[in-house]
Amino acid sequence: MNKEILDGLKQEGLKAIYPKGTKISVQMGTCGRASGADEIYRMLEKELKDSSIILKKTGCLGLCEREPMLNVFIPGQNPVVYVDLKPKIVAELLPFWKKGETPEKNSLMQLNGKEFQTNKKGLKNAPGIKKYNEIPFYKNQQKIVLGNCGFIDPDNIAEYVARGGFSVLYDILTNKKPEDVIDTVDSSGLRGRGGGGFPAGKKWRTCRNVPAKTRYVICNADEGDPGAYMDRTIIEGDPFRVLEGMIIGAYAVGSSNGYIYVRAEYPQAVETLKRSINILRENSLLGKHIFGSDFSFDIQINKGGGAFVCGESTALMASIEGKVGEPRTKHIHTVVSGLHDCPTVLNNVETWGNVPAIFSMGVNNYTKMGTKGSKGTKVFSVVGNVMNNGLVEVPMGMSLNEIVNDVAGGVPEGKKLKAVQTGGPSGGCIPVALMDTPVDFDELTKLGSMMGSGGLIVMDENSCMVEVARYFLSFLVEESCGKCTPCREGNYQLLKILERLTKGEARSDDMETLEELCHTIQNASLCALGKSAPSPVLSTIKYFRKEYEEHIHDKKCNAGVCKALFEYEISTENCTGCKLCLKNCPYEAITGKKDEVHIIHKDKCTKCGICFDVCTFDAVMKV
Amino acid sequence: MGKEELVKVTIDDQAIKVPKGTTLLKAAKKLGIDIPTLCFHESLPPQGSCRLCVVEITDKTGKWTWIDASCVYPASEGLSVKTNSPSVVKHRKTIIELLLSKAPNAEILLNLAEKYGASKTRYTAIDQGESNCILCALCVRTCNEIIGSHAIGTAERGVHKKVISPFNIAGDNCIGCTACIHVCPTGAIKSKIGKESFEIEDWGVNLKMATCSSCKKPFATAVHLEKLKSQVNLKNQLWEMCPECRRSANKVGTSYSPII
Repeated sequence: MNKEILDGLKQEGLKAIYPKGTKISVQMGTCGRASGADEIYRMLEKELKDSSIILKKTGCLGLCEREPMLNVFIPGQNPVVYVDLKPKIVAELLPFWKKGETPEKNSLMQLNGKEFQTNKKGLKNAPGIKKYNEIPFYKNQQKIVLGNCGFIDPDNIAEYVARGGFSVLYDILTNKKPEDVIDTVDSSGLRGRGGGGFPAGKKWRTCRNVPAKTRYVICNADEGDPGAYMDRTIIEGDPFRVLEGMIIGAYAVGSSNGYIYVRAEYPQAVETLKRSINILRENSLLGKHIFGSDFSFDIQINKGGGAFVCGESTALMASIEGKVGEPRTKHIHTVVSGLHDCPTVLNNVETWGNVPAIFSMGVNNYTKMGTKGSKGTKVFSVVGNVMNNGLVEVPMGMSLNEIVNDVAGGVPEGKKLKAVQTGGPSGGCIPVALMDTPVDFDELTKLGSMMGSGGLIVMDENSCMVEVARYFLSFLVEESCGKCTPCREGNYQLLKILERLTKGEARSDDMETLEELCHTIQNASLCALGKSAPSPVLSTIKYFRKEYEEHIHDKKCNAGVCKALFEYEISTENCTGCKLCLKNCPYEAITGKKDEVHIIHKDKCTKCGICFDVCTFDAVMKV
Repeated sequence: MGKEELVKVTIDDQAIKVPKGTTLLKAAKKLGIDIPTLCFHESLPPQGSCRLCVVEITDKTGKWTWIDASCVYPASEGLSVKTNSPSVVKHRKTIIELLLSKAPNAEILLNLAEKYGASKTRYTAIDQGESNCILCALCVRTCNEIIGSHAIGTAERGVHKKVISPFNIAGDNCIGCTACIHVCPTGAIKSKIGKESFEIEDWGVNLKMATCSSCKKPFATAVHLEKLKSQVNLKNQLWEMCPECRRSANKVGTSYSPII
């Protein structure tokens, strides 16, 4: 690989992104495929067999709620994104696309503007289609790491190069010393996106300064938080960005061996990485003498076996070494003595993905985004009771309120927002009163939660916070490695107490025991998983203490979630005697004559909630 | 190599100088301060898993105070350590209570419970049958790191974690050295030594006993003797005797002299 070949790739990539003929790119991330993108792709493949229309796969554009999605590029015009697709709808639209038209039906927007470099290409607007920055979900986002996802073909290195890829690496390997690279990363203020928020530059410098023959760089792609899928989407949509970041990091710290620790439950991400690494080897961007320099580096993939704790640095490295994935005490940091007792830099997918951007944008531009202590952007997966479930990338410091309401569309159906859980299962719940908090590493920690890797779970007024804490605890109890007593036994006992609360079997001293136990687990556990495991309990106690007390002393769940703590009754005022609930009750627990108030018989009622859901007069009540 | 760097640490208001990196547990021991442990053994590297040895550590600036396990925490200049502060005692009490919920009859825990005022019934009992295992993993570490047999390991995770033979299959790794039994702090490993065989039922161990050529009593498993034979150069007939008989026969100049 040299400069001429790179320039050649760039031209080839531009032709692939903006070809001379019509191009349809189906968004084929795991999320898209789960919504039916495969079927649409197969159908188009069949329909376009003898057509000149180019059919491509791309990653996820972030709006997972509206998938399956695809992009239609008609030469001379901005690409148009179609959403909520079904084979039938595609069949209706296809004749238009074939004619070079982009009708409004099922269209979301056109990909125009500087994000997509369409200005440079002099593309015209697609008539009648909304522009990218007119869509609330996208207009407040700032896509850096996700910039290529859902836009380019992740398997085509030329498209990545056309978007500026590997020019940073070329510049670094031909013009910069490793120390200069570390200085740049340091001054960018980049902090680890995997949860800890440790300054990446500092980590790299320490690693470089430890005298050693061998150093390692590792990409942590063991993303295991329920409902979080930032890393998966980045890998599936733009793998070369992550790999370029790793190569730059390896050059900076002086490493010739890299690993990607990716969870085996991400088969598509694993395959994408395998293909991309091979492509880089074929193009001499991995292997010996990259860009003709003295620097040699290669990357191996290591699949995780499904243990959440292996996202923890020492457990991850033990797992790569073939040992049981258990953490060790970290009085000697892994950056000094990590994998095979060698200095090791471990950063997660998103952190590595930021590295090329810091150099291509320049530190000055990069540090303009974010807050004093947290620079750049953060990718969040916003899920739960929210209109637009999906992946968003926003500048650090944006308030929770803006992320949840402005970007993600807020809570649906006129319900009220109650809390947002940040930081994954061991993060905390932040109440609606604190929604104006700017989201950065330090502010979230102050509130008793954490940034974590970027999961944001939105909860509406119908959520019971005791049940929420119980749910996260049940996840962590299953994922505790079991090495140390407080985490193994303590979290199990915490779960038992929370289960009692939700079943109406609470003891009067349970609140005291909960807090005492949380305190010991937090302080005395061996690793960060244990130390942070009580956070869901402690943060919900902090902000929703009343709910705990109601569960313990009144044996009531006012959110109407804990089945043992409420009963269904029919309001004599509202019931019209329409018989709808009666007909739908699978247990024959409801009786009543037409046009007369119905009655629920508690001995037969299993609290399945069907009557509550079907009643159109709000007559079924939880009391 | 220069001289070992000494650092000053203060433990329960007593100052001591120790080589940098000495664990706080060892430093405390030098001062005669007793810190309770369960997963620690002199012969093994510490692993800091039972967390009973937690202490309160304050850094040299006096700004930061935290709790950590003394068996693994390395001494550095100016650390100030409290081994019995109210929060340390509280954490230890909770840890003892947690362990008692699964090993309610372990003597060592009952003694600790009395000392720390821990309740036996505060937490939901975890039924482990007869076993008093508290998962300190001393047995596993001894078997792997000292004996080198790798006959047992931990399997599964969290509360489901347990000590088993590899893949829960009765393997031929165990030599019946009984080191695991001796090192277990709660007496959780149940074995049977008979005339013919040595058994650890939980791990499917069933090994043939060797009989002393002199007193005719069974004294070790045959495979254990085989392994020792391969490691120690002694006359063959010496391996046929139990230690007591060997000692009485072991006189220089007799045919039982160990020198070949």
